[in-house]
Amino acid sequence: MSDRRTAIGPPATGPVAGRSLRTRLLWLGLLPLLVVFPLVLGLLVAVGGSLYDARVQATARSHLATAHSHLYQQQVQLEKYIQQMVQTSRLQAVLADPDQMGLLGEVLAARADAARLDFLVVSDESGRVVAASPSLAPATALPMGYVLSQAITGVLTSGYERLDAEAIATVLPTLRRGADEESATASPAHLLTTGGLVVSAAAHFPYSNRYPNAVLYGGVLLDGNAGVIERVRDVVFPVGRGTGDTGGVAAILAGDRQVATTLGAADGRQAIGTRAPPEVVESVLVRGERLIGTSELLGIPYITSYEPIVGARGEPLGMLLAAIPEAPIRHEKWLLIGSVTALLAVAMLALTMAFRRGTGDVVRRLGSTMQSMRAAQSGDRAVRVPVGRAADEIDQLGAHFNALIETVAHQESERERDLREKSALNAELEHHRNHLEEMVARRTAELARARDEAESASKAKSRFLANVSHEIRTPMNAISGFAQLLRRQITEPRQAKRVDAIIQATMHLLGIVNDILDFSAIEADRVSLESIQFDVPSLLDNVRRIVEAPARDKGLALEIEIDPELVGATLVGDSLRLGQILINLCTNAVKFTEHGGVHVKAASVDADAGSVVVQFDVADTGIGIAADAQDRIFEAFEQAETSATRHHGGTGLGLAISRRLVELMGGQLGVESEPGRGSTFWCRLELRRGRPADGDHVGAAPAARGLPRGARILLVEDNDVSQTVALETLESIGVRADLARNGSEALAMIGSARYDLVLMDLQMPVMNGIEATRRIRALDEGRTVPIVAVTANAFETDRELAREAGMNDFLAKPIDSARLQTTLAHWLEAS
Amino acid sequence: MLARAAAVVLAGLLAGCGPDEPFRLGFIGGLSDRNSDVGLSGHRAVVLAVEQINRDGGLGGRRVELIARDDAQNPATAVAAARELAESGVDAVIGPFMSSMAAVVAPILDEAGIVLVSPTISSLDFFGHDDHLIRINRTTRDNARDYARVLLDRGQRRVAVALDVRNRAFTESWLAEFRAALAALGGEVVTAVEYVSAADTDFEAVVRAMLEQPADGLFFVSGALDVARLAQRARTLAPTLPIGAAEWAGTEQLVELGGDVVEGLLIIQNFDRADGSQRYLEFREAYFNRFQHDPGYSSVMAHDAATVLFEAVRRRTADQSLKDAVIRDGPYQGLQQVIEFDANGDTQRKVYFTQVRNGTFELIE
Repeated sequence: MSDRRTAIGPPATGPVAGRSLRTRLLWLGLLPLLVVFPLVLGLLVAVGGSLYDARVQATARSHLATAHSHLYQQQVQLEKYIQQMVQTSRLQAVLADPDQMGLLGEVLAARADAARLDFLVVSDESGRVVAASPSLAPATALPMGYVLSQAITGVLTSGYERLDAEAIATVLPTLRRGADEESATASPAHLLTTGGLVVSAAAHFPYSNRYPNAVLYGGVLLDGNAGVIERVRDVVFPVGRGTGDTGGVAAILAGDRQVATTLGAADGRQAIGTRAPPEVVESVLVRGERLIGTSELLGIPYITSYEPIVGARGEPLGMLLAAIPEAPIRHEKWLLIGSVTALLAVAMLALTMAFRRGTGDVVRRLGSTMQSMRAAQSGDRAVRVPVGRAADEIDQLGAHFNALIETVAHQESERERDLREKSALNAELEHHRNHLEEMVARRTAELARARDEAESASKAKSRFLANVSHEIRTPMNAISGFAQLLRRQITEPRQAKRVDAIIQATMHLLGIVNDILDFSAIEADRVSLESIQFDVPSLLDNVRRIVEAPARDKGLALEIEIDPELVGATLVGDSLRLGQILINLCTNAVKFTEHGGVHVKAASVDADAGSVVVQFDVADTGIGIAADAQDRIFEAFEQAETSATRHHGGTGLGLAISRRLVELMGGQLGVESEPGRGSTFWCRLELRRGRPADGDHVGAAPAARGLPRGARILLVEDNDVSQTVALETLESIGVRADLARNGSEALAMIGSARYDLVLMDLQMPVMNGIEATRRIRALDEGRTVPIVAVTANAFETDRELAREAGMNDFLAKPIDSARLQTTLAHWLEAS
Repeated sequence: MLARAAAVVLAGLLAGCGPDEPFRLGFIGGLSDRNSDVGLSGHRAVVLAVEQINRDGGLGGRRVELIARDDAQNPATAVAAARELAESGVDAVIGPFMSSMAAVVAPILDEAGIVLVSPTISSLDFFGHDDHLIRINRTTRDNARDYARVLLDRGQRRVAVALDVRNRAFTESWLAEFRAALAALGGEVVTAVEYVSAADTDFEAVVRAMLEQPADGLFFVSGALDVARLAQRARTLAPTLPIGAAEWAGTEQLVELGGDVVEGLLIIQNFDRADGSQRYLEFREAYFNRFQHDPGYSSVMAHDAATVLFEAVRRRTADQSLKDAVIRDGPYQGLQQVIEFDANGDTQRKVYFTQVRNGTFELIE
C-alpha cells in the first residue's frame, strides 16, 4: 500500500496569509513612530511652547513690576524727605531770620547733597525762588508744574515731571552729574535742547507768622542718571550665583527715547537715545498700556516689557523698560523641546523596534505552522508543527494541530488494521465456506450425538423416576390399601384408632414420597397440571379435614373464612395440587404455632365473567419468620432454621414445591411475617370459571351411583399384593373381577370372554400394559372395551402413551376407592 | 481624529481661563487744586479697598476695576467727569467729597440710575431725598448743633464765622444750621463773612471782616488749607480769640500746614484717631504701608463707603437694585462703627471733639 494518504479537505487557495499579516503588523509597528510621534510632538510644541512663552511673559511682567515698585519707592522717599524738611525747625528758623537768608542756600545745598537731589528750591507762594541749590537768582520764576502748584495750594505732592528745555535752563543751569561730562546725550547742552524727565516733590511750609509762606520743591533728574537706573537694574536683575550679569536691561525713556539705561553701547557707555519701536510708542505712550513682547534693542532681540511713566495728572511722560535677551530664552525653550523630542523619538523608535521584533517572531512562527499544515494537508502525516517553549497561543495552536494530525494518522492506521483484519476474516470466511458442508456435517453429527446423549440421559432420568415411583408406591399402595380395608372392618374403637394411625402414617409417608417425587418431577419438568372443576368450599373442607386434628392436638384454633363471592363459584384448576399446597401451608402453620391458632381465608380479589383471581391467606400466630429468612424458606431443603427442622420435622420440600406449583399455575406464593408475631402465607392465582355439572367433581360428595350388576371386570396386575388390594377394593364396592397376571394372559382372556371393563396395570414384566392394550385393541373383541390404566406413575408422558395405545382413562396408585367407583361407574354406564 | 481630539482638549483648557465681567467702580473727588487733601486721601482709601478685595478673590469672583475722575472742585469739570463715568457704564460711584460738587454730580448719576455713595458730604440739601445718593456722613445740622453746644459750653456766645462759598452747598447749609442752633441756645452768630477759596484769596481781608463785630470766638467753615491761612491771619490780628473750624477741615493737612498757627483750634473729628481696635489698626497699617501716609477722616469714610458698596453687592438678591440692596441689606460693619441707612439713604455718624495740640488732634470730651 502506498504511503501517500489522501489530502484532507480542499486544496489551499487564496492569498498567502503570512504576508498580509506581516504587512499589517509592520504598519502597526510603525504607528508610534509615524503617527503618534509627530502628533505628540506637534502638541508638545504647540502647547508646551505656548506655556513656556506664557511663563516667560509672566517673568517679564514681574521684572517690570519690580522696576516700577522700586521707582515708586524712590518717589515716595523723596516726598517723605521733602515733607520732613519743611517740618524741621532748622529750615523754618533759617526762613524766619532774614539775616540768614544767605545761609538758606547752603542749608539747601547740604540737604540736597545728603539726599542726592539734583535740585532743591525754596519758593514763595507765587513760585518765585527764595533760595535754591544749585543756586539760582532769587525771584526766578520756577516752572509751575503740577507738583509745585499743588504744594502752593498746601498739598504735599510728588510725581514725575517733564521739564522742557526752558525749565531745565531755569532750574538746572548747572547739572550735577556723576561722570560723563562729555557724553553727547547727557550733556547739559543736550538737555537744554530736549528737556528732561525729573521725579520731584514739593511741600508747603507750615503756616506761621514767624516766616513768610513758602514752599519747598526738590527733585532728581532721570536723564542720564546712571545711578538710578543701575539701582533699578540691580533690583530687577540681581546677580545670580555666578559672575557676570544676566544680560537684563533696565531703562527710563522720556517719550520714546531712552534717557537713562543700562543698555551698553559698543564702547561700554549707556546707549542713551535708543528709540523704542513705533508699535511700543503707540501701545504704551499713546494708549497707556503695558506691553510685553519681543523687540530689538541695538539690533539684538530682547523680551521687553514697557510701561508708561505718567505725570501727576496721568499724562504719559515716558516709559519704563525692563528687558532680557531673547536668545538664551529661545535657546532654552528649543533645548527643552529638542531634548523631549529626542527622548520621545528614541522611545518611539525603541517601541517600534521591540514591536517589530516581537511581531516578526509571531509571524515567523505562524508561517512555519502554516507550512506544516500545508504539508499535512497534502498528505504528509509525519510532519509536526515545531512547538516552542513559550506555551503561548501560537504554540498551543501548533500543539493542537499536532494532536489533530496524530489523531488523523492514528485513525488511518486503525482503519488499515481493520481492513487487514477484515481481509483476514474474509479469507477465513472463504476457507470456511469451502469447508462448510464438511463442517456442517461434522457439527450435525456432533449435535446428534449430544442430543442422543441428552435424550438417553433424560430417558434414563424418566425411567429412574418411573421405577422409583413404582417401586415406592406399590408397597405404599399395599400398606395404604390394606390399612383402609382393615379400617372398614374394624369397629372396636381402640383398634380403629390404631389402624387410623397406620393410615395416617402411611398417608404421611406417602406425602413425603409424593413430595420427593413431585419435586423431582417438577425439577425434570415432568409435571402437567390438571384442569378439574371444583369449588372453593369443598377444597377448603378437604383441607380442614386433614389439618383440624393436628391443630386440635396442639390446642390451636382453626378458622376457615370464605369470601361469599367464592361460595357458589365453580372454578377450573388443578384442585388436587392446590389442595396439597394449602394443606402444606396449614400444616406448616400448625407446626410452627404454639399458641393461638390458624386462620385460613379465601377471597376473591378480582373477578369477571370468565375468571376469578383468588387469594388464599393462611395466617398463624406462631413464631414468625425473620425477614432475611423469608426468601430462603421457599428454596428446596430449607427451613427457617436448621434447629427448626429438627424440632418440627419435614423434608423442607413443601414450600419449594408449593411455590413452584403455584408458579406453574400462573400464580404467586408469598409470606408476610414478623418474628414473634406470626406469619401469613398468601397464595394468589387466577382461575377460570367452570360450568357446574361438567366433568369430574373432585371433592364433591361421591355421587352415590350404583354400579350395574353383573358387570364383568378384568384386572390385569402382576404384583401379588397389588392384586389383593385391588380385588378387595373392588369387592368393597360390590364389584367382582377376573384377574390376569400379565398382558398375555389378559389377551387370552379377552379373546375368550366378554368383559365390560379392563383395569390394566402398566408396569408389568414380559408385556407391559401399553403393549398389552395395543394388542387387545388389535383384537376384534377388544376394540371397544374400556380400558382403564392403573399405575403408580403419574407422568404426563405415561398418560400420553396410554392414550395412544388406546386406553380410555387413568387411575393413580394407590387406588382411591371412591375414585375407582366413580371411574367404573362412568365407563360402565357409557358402555 | 486624534487631531480633532487635541483641538477640543486645547479649546477646553483655554476656555476656562476667560475672566468674568469686572465690577466697574467709579470715583469722583477733588484730586487737585484747592482742598484736594480730602479727595486725595479718600481716593487712596478706595484704591486700598479695591486692591484688597481683588486680592481676596474679587466681588463674587469678579475683579473690581477702579475708574477715578478728578472734579478739581470745579463744577464744569465735575459735570464732565460724572458724564464720563455714567457713559462708561460704571456699576456704582464713590464720591464726591464736597457738597458743592455733589450738587452738580448727583443729578447726572441719579438720572443714569447709578448709585452714588458719598463718604463725606453732609449738606442738608441732600438729606431726606429718595434718590440714588447715599451718604456715609451725618448732616450739617447734626454737626452744627453739636458745635453750638460745645462752643457755648466754652463760653463763646457770640461767634464770628467765615465761610467758603466755593463749597456753598455745604457752607451755607452749615451756617444756617449753626446760626439756628446757636440762637436756640442763647448765642448769636455776630458776623458771617463769605469768601471764595482761590489762590489769590485775600485771607487777611476776610479775617478783618470777621473782626468788625465784637466776638467771643472765630469760626471757619472752610477746608483745611484755607483754615491754615485764616488761622495764620487770625493769630496775627486777634491772637487771643479762640478759633474753631467746621469738620470739613479736619484733615492731616490742617496740622501739617497749620503748624503753630492752628494750635488750640477746636474741631470735630469724624473718626477716632486713637482707635485701638484691630480692624482700624489693620486698616491704618495697610494704608501706611501702601501710601506712606496715615489715613484721615475722608480715608476712613471713603473706605467705609467702599465696604458698604461691596457688601451690598454681595448681599443683593436677584430682584433688588443696587440702591435697594445698599439701603435695605444693612447694617454694615464700618472701620469704627456700624453703618445703617434710613429709607432715603441717610445715616448717623459718631463724632469726636478735639483741639489741636502740638500738631495732633487731642480729644477734649
